[in-house]
Amino acid sequence: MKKTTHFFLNEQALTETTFFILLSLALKPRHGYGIMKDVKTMSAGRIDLSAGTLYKALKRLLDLEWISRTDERGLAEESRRSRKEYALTDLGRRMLQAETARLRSLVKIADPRLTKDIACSG
Amino acid sequence: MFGMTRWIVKGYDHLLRLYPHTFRSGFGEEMRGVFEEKLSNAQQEGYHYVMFVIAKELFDLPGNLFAEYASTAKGGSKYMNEKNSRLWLVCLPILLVVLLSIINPGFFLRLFNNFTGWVITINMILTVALNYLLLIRLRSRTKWQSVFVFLLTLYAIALLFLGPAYIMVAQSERIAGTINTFSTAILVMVSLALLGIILSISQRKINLDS
Repeated sequence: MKKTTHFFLNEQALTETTFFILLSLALKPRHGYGIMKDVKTMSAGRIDLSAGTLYKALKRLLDLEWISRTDERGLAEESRRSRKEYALTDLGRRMLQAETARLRSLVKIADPRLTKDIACSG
Repeated sequence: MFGMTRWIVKGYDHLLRLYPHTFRSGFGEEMRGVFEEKLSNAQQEGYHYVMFVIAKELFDLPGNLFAEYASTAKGGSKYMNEKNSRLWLVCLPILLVVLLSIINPGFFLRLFNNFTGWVITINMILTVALNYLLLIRLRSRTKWQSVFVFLLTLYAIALLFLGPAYIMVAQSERIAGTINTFSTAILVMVSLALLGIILSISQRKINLDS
């Protein structure tokens, strides 16, 4: 809870990796490799996470209780051994919405200035 | 190519061992699975992409290791295996020896005056090693494991306290010859049994890892 308050007070920006991981879980729960692929697709191949980086981020998000981890169902016994599903929690969803709003407000500030800039130079 | 993948994944297994044990026990198996899946998909895209996947993993490794060791030093994560909180049990016999040596510096030196003293010391080291293996390697079997570790620690304490006292009493009673031979024989057998258990657990650990 302390960490949550800290986030809101400072309006600390999420890293791009964290943002994409949360965004990847916004629609449905996914397992590790599913998140990795989705992040790559969303970032148009720009962010290709290594397993180490992905799990470092997932561990931190689990600690913050922004995501939760469960056993993935409906898989063969041998593959289920190493598969866990990650899902966005309510708190995680709120954080994602807050970050999206922050980015939107930044765009709102930047857009008119850039438009004016283009008009002046034109 | 499949043979090569197997070797790469084995290499990755070794890299995973560089992570703090707590992190590895919580996420190691999943990381290995994800890496294997990524690698097998990379093969379809070509040899160069396989190399890229490996290079990316190696490039990110130092930063990730640093972050995880820093996080573990700060108290770790509740999603990691929490059995390490009992790690102090492993050090208990050693701490007792340190404490006894501080209280009475001659105590430990006397222990090495005879063969039984040496056997007691070896027993203690074996017990510490067994405790360590049980705590670190067989993390999933929590119920019996903690009971077993507790009993072993008690046994180590008993050996440390009662062993030398027993020898001293036996020597003062001038029956040391008979009793010492008997007790030494028992302690040697216990040492061998402990050694056997340690070796079998180490073997089991290797089988589990492969």
